[in-house]
Amino acid sequence: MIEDAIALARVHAPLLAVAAPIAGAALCIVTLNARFGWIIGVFASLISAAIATDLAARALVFGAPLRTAAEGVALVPDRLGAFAAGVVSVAALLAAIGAGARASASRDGALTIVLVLLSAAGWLAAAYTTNALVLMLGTEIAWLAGVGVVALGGEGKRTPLNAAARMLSVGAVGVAFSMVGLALIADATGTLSLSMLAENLSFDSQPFSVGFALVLGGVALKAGVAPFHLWVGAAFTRANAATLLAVGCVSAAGALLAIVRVVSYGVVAPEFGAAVFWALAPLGVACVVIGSVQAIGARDLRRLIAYALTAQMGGVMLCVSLGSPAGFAAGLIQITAIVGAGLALFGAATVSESYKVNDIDGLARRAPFSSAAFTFGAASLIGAPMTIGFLGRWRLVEAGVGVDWWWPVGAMTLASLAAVFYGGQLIERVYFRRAQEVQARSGDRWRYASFPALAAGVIVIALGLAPQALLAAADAAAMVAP
Amino acid sequence: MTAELALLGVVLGPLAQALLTVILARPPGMRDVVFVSLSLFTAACAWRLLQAAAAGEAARIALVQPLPNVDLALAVEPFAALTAAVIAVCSVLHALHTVGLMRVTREPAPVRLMVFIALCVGAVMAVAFSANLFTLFVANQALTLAAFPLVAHRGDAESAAAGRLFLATLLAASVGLFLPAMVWTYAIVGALDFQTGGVLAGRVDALTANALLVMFVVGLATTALPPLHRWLPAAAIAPPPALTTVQALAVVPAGGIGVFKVAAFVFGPALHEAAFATRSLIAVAGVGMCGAALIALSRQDMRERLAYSCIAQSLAVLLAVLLALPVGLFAGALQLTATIFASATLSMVVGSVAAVTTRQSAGDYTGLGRVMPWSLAAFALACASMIGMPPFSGAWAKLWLITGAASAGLTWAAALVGLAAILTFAHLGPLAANALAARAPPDPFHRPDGASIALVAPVVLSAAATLWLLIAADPLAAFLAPVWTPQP
Amino acid sequence: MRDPALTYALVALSAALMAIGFAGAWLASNLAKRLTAQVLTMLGALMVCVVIGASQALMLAGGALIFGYALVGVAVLVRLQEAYGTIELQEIDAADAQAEAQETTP
Repeated sequence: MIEDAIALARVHAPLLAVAAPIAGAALCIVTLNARFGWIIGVFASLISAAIATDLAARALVFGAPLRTAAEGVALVPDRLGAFAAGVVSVAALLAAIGAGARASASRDGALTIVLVLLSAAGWLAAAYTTNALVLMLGTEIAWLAGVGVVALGGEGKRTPLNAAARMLSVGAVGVAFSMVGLALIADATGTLSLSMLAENLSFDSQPFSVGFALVLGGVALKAGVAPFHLWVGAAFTRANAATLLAVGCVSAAGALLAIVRVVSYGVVAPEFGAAVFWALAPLGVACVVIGSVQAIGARDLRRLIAYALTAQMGGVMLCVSLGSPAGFAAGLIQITAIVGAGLALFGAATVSESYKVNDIDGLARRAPFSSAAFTFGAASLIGAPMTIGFLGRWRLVEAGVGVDWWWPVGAMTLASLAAVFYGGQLIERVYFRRAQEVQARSGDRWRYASFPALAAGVIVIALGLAPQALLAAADAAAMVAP
Repeated sequence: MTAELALLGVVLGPLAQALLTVILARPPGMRDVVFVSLSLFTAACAWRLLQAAAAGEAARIALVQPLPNVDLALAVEPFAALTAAVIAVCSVLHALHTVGLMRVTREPAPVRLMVFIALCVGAVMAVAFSANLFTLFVANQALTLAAFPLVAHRGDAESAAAGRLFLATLLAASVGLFLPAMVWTYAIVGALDFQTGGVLAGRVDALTANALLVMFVVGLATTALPPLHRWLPAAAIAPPPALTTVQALAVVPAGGIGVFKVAAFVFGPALHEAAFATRSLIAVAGVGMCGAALIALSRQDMRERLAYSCIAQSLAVLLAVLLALPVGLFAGALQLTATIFASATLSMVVGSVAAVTTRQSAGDYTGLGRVMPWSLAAFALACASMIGMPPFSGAWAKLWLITGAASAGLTWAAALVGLAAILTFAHLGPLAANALAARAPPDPFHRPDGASIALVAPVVLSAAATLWLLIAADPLAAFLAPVWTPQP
Repeated sequence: MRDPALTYALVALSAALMAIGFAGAWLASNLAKRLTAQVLTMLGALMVCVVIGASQALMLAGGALIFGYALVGVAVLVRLQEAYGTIELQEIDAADAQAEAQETTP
């Protein structure tokens, strides 16, 4: 009986993983009680995460087939999508716990949880589809939900509304790009199904490339890849936990993974492969440099973390621009590292209620759990050995050296050096500075809110110490069928 | 005890020492007993490993495997066993001295100092026994992080600046140069394990070998190779026990161990491919030695003078191992062990003197031997060893070094080593002679009863140890031979 | 059958609409005007799709997205007007800068 149910659920796994948060969101709207809504939200995310990680593990580690004989409405994912959904769903679960635990105390709590769930559902749908149109729709739904999360996340301050307006502008431009891009792709190839591209290569590659570039640009705007990250500083400076975790981590991961997938389908066209290289590699270097410089200059803690993650995104762009399975696998590892570090650092910043960089001076004495999360996250940002951040960079450099490609190696070395500066500063402040009088009273708030930060920190270290399963999954996911 | 267990003990011993020192911080007597006895335990483990290496036992433990084909692993080989044993013995003496010093100076936060001293010793043990480049890299990072609180211990603005310089230089060099070099090596070889005869031998062209060598050597900034040497004089602001740890026991020796391992086990004969880089680095090290010894002459603060003296000695190790000859490796190993003993003695004596008499300037040492005879006699012995006067161990090291340089056809390098020895004599010789021979200073002492036994015994024993190479040189050559003779 | 000249003219027209909207979304200081410009940009993009002859699904999705953006945009506008008492961007930015300055110098 139970086995049958599980088997049935596995057949429809992608659909269920997307539907669970949507159903949770609907239930939240019905009740409109923040605390109850949070419990529903966590439960829905848990179900979604369990299904998505089960699917990813079966498909990537144990080699089960992804195309099951499902009838009716079905999402048929690819291997990259299965990996992406696994990462996004786990991040969404942690974000739901962290966001809800704080949101339940605020005015718009229930609504925030609804939007966090919808955002997660959007990114999951984008991960599980191989149709470019559905991918765009999922992305846009997630983005709009994210804008809502930011707008509601004021915690009594009005600045986030301003940020939401900016995000909306950026998103609208992205939509325009994506729509034109999709129209061009459809016009050139006659289909919007990404998986069919490889079977139909006799198309005019110029409009196809332009279309692909536009779609990529639209998604890159949403990931917050520098220099398209105009909204990042404003959105995260005064943000609450929901914004930082759902938009700063889950959305960033979803968008980056979408970029990886779109590129992995695009490189089947040889000319496009070269174009991708010339478009993404300089973008990656620019992103690394801009993000690092901004992170070094930041005095606002949340902005510092956001820019540090932006710098890491440059690494993902470099990986992807390689256009090879090794590059995609390295990109997947780096995205996982970004999400892990982001959840740990943003989570710790919200739990310890730190806004300015010097708010964390001497935090180790008054908030040991947040400090541990800060340390793990910052160590991963630096790329310290035995963290997942190290693994990601190692894989990129290995992939780069493998094709005699030295300048991304240089860029990543620069990024690491910059990260030693700003990440090391975080750790130094937490452990070796004395707190000022004003801060001395705010300690660890031992609520559920600190769980996600600590869990993310532990994941960052655990995956760094025993990465075999993750490496195998990423390698399997990146084996893009030609 | 099996060798594997001893290997674990040598790294975990200091960790346990740190932990127990925190837990049993009160009463101070308990803390001190724990601190000293656990360093004895570490020394016992190191001794067991020395025997294992002498008997040709192979022991290797892998802790985790964070990358395919690369694990965090420790392994026994003769050079590691030798340096670890020397450091462990020295750290027992230093533990005793630290305990004595804490009682005299009433140092604020003694437990923090002791904990990080123990952690530094643990980290340098891991550096010594590292079985591959990755472990070496991780252990070096751990050592840097463990030594940082020692450098910044005083907590004032000057210490904080010194700490930042220390951290920034060492971390930036290792992340910016050593790490890329390591990845490059991995890309060429597919593994990072150390191997007698060098993993790169026959696998690299000249350009790659040159670039890799420079990246590895400069990346190991703990050698204090100019221009990345400023952290060492800056760290002289640390309290005496911390200073001994940085200069003599952990950080500077880790640099020597690192370059030795890279030269012997990563490059081996491939060093000949990197002739240009080798020559250039030897030139920089040789000139740096002379420059450091000259600057030391201009420094009146004893701690700074020792710091520059220490740079000169550390660069001698680098110069020796870069000669790409078995004789160079042997000279490097001798120089490293001789320096550890001599430099530990000197900085412990400087600590004792500062604690007992509050004197820190070289000019104030005149006649001190009349009131602190044992300590200053030890000081003089250690000075003689640093200079390279026979029959002290430093002399054998310098002799082999000059012979090696000459037989490699680098007469100028041999000349630089000789010049550096003369300059070292200039900044240490008259100082020691004056301290012993001049009349006692008239002004009263900070502590009229002089130094306690806990301050005197360690320095005397450690100075006595500078004589050991007189009898041990030949057996040592046989012991270390497997390092440069590839096994069939 | 499409007339190529007509198609080019229509694409150019739509692109111009997009460009006007884009410029407006970038330059307008009143947020209501900005929102209108954003919708214009997206409408221009939709027109490009129509002219190229994209699938109905794409057009439908595009229309729905434009509607969604307009809806969320209006909601944010209302909240901004409630919070700041204005929807002029300069005034809002000035208020934010002032609030931040007050925080840093207590």
